[in-house]
Amino acid sequence: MTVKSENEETIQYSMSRRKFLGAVAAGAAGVSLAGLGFDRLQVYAEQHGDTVRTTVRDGDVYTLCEMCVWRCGVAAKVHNGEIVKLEGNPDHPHSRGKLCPRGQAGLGMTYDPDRVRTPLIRVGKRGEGKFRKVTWEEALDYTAARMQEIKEKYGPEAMIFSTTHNLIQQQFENLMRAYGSPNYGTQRSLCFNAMITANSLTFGLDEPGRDYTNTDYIIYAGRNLMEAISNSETQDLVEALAKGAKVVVLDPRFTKTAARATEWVPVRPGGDLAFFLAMLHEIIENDWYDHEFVENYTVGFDELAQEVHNYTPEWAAQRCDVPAAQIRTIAREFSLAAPRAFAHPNWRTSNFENSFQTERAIAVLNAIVGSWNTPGGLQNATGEGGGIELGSIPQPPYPRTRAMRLDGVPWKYPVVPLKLGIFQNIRDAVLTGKPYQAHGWFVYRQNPLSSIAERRKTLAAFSKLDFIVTIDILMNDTAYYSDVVLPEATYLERYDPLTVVEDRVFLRQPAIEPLFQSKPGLWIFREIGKRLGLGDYFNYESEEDYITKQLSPLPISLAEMKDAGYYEPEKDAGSEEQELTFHTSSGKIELSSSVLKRVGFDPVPHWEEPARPAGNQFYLLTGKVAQHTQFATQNNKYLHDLFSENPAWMHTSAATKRGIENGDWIYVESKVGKVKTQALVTEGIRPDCIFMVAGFGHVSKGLHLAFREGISDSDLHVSYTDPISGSQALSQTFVKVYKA
Amino acid sequence: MTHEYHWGWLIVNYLFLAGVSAGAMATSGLANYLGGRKLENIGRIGAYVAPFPVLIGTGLLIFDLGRPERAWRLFAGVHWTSPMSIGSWLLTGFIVISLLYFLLWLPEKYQRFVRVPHRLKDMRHLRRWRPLNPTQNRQGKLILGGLGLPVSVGVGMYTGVLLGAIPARPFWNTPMVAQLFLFSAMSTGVGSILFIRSLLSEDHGTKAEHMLLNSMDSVLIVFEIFMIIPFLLHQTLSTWSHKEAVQLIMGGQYTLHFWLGVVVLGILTPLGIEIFELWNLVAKKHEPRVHLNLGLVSGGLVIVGGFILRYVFVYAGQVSHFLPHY
Amino acid sequence: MVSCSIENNVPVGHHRNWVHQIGIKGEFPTLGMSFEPGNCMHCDNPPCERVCPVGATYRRDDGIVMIDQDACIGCKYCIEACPYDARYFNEETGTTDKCTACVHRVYKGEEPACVATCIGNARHFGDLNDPKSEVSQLLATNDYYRLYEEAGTGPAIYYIYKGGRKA
Repeated sequence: MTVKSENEETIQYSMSRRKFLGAVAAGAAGVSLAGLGFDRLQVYAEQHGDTVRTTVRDGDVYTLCEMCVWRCGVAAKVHNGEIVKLEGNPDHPHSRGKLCPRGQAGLGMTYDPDRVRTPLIRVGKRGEGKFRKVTWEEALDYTAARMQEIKEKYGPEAMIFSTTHNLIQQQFENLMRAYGSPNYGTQRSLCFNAMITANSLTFGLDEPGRDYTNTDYIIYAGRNLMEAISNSETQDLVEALAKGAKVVVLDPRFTKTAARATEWVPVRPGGDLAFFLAMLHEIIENDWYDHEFVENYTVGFDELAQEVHNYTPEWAAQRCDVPAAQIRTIAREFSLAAPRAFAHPNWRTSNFENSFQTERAIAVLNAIVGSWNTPGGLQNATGEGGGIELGSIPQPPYPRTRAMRLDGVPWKYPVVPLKLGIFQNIRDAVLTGKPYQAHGWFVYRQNPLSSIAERRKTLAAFSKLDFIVTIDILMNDTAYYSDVVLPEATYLERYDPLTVVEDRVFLRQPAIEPLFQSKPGLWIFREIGKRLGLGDYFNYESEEDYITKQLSPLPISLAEMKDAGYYEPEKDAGSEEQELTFHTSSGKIELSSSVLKRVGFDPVPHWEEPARPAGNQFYLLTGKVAQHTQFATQNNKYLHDLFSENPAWMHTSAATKRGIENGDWIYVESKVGKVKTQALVTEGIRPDCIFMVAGFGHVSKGLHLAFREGISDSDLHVSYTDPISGSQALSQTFVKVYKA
Repeated sequence: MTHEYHWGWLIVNYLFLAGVSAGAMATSGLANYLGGRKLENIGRIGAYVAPFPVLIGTGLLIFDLGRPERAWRLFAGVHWTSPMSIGSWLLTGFIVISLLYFLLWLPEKYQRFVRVPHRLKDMRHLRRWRPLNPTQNRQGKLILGGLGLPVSVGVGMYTGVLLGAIPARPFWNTPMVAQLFLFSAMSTGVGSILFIRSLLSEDHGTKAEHMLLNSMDSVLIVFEIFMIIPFLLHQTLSTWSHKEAVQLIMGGQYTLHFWLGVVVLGILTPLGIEIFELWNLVAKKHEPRVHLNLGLVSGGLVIVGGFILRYVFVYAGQVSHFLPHY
Repeated sequence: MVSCSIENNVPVGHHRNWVHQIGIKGEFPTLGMSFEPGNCMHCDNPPCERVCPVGATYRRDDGIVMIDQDACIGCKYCIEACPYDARYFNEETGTTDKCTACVHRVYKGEEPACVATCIGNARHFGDLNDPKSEVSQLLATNDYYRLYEEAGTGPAIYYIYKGGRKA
């Protein structure tokens, strides 16, 4: 990056044409922070008018990773005030001593030269990249003033609050609720609304656990664990395979998981529903299900049986492109292996509008073979936060929010859980001004400009807003278009609220003091809250005070907690026994959902015909690689070194037909956008599909490595929303491909 | 699979320059030995050429090191299994010998600056160092020329040994590469003398001179051809890795450089010219008819060809690898 | 690879270890893909040691091949000599460098950084002279191969087929 002009007061982000050379030269000249010893850090800081605070401490600091949602335990090795290495904490169940590439590269984010160093207030036009460096005082005063202004003129609901799954979410929600806005945007609807909604309705549980240690049979639809690495779960899968479990992967693409699996099923996108319905058919018609379990723990079996009666494997074969014989075989094997078998709930599965039904089908499939809370099957997992009581801080009750939510929950989408919402609808509501016009957007640790489908629409929505404030670490795309950017300290530099994982309480604590002027979220929210007159909702003096208050019911001090990194309470003798109850309306597993029925949707899993691309069009698939996390890591120099472009996968035959060779420049065009990228010609994908890794194509000139590298799928994706779960159906976008 | 180049232009230039120096020294020594006034010009030109290309080349070599200030470590000992270690010593020896030799060839008027101790005990007393008399000078030339010959062969050959010693680069890893570099080095040395001689002559030079230069170079070129043919043949008939490696000059990215640059320009054309010249000299017994312009051309082409040969070898070699087993 | 680079201060752009992807092979839908991780093979008969003109590269008694960073002159001969392309030139130090089997960790009884973090449980490190070690057991009970054995290098990295399929 050539920061064209940076003086004491302003920053103008720009990018020279010879970006690569410029970046290398800048790095060589000492702008790069990674690997700087403390002395050089001091010099750097002094050159930029900063002071370097003294170190927290040298040695091993046990904390939690934030490079993805898995939040593995990390041992940060600190030497001379610099984090020199990150290793997996052997005592954390999510890492078990290992870290994935992103976890290892975490210090590349802390020491990224593109970190936002001071609070910034925009001076140019949005997207011009011109900001004024200001003090926290000024930035916070300004932010609070604008937020207060919006609240008074338009009501608190005119302010949108959005964030992505993180450990400080409760404080963010605290601010939102205290402020009085109901408009909560999370990224859930871009990912697994369908899964959570389906499982809550079926089992009363967001996401059932999985017992890999004892399982003999697993079916995945997507959930590319070898690339979309969820550390411990990926390790579990590796071990299960090594022990001889049979793993079936439904995926239109030959992913690394598919390569490792016992059987890869190149299913038609959107057709997984037919596959699972046919499995249900087979298992029910052939009487392979667990009668006792169904009898005792489920309701609605007869309705289910009636529904699937016509979903034969032959019927399914044309809809999912899986031969009937293969469906039969898998159904038989699965039921034989059960209950030491499970169909994984997955995350996005096929990402079609019918994915909710697919998730329902998967859920009931597990149920009818009795794969619940037994070795090798789905587990009645409590997930994060359950089981251990943490202290809370007294605060007044929240004001009532009278306004309805912009995203249509629950008035248009009665079944979508409030905590999930429908993110893309918020964006659409800003554009249309219906049911009312929003005027502000508070973004925390999120990049909606890149994550929501149809980026040009999101940009247009921005132009309708009076005030956008983003808290971020890097000048990511959304921050680049904001009015105020507040630099948060990275996860290696701050405390976050305690988190419970399985049977332990874990602490995130700083390994070093926050660099530059960055501040932890706990502090930022409190300061904004105070200025909005909501100080009563933030009754803590400091981060350490907050943690101490959380620790109060537990017999451990903060100092001890910092030393160990976690606390494991004594287990009650009786807590092992878990009654098989389900938090559903009937108290049992709802094969037929009373809630769905009441609202007027199909109560049992039901076939919904997915859209298909026309003759010369392709399904557009997106997914992950092991080296990146969505839109957050493309600028990390270690990860960028390993993976920096996202060419479009296409099948050899499709390429040949269009005169395209491997590496050729091509256009990929959807209804809403067109991008130019390179072709990766391969046998490893269905001929009717195109695939690209998500997260590239950044538009912020503040990301010197990632700017304009690769393409963004948000430029291509059309917004389709599943009417039941609010899930965004990303794979339903169809594209044309031709040579550039 | 793409591979990085770790050795580049600096190394190519060094190999070339060292070769020119080695060839020039050897030719000069030989001319001096064969004797007489008739070959004196060759001796002189060779002596003048010999030290300098290699000095420049060695400078480039040291500059190419990651830590030039540590170059002294090359002389902290000898690592007998490392051609580079042995080569460093050879190179140093060559530089010393060729510099001294050069001094002996300086014109009369400068000989008074060339002083040596006449008696052993005079070594400490610099004032007692005296210039050599003509006989001593002639003897000195013979001795140094004599010593210079094997050292030149060493310098000309060791670079080939250095490359050939690496199984990891199939293009280099053949028995032929050492000799090929040797004969090419000798040839570029002769070529440089031929080139300069053709530039400098007010007179047309003695028949003996031209006979020597043209016949030496032709012979060397023929030997080069006898090196290249088996090189190509046996690379092709060897393992897949070798076969793949030699493809780089048999259809691959360095084909044109090799066949046009080395074979046509550096070998066949000069050979043709030199044979033509020799035929002129031998057939027409009356007067030596020598075309100085042709001498420029053949000498120049030999030098260019030698340079391109080093380029092709250094670069193609680095591309060649064991084939991946998958 | 990230773990190694950070653990050993490897400049971005260079790597001490790697993972080669083999495939995707075959014709849709009958396909295969596998991975071959690697690093310096710490050969029994290292060609790098042989060609070093200053003796900076040496093989320890325990088999680990090291480079004395104070002695290396940066001539890069060893980089050309290595059939595995395991070495790289470090522009910052002006010397050649490579995998050291994380000797500094081995001294403390820890595994090399790559082994410690491998989520696929694909890397194993240990003492082949000890028949009870994990690596000895793995070699005793599985088929294995080594790379470029014909080069006479005697590489110390063994690739085993752990009952999985090879592409």
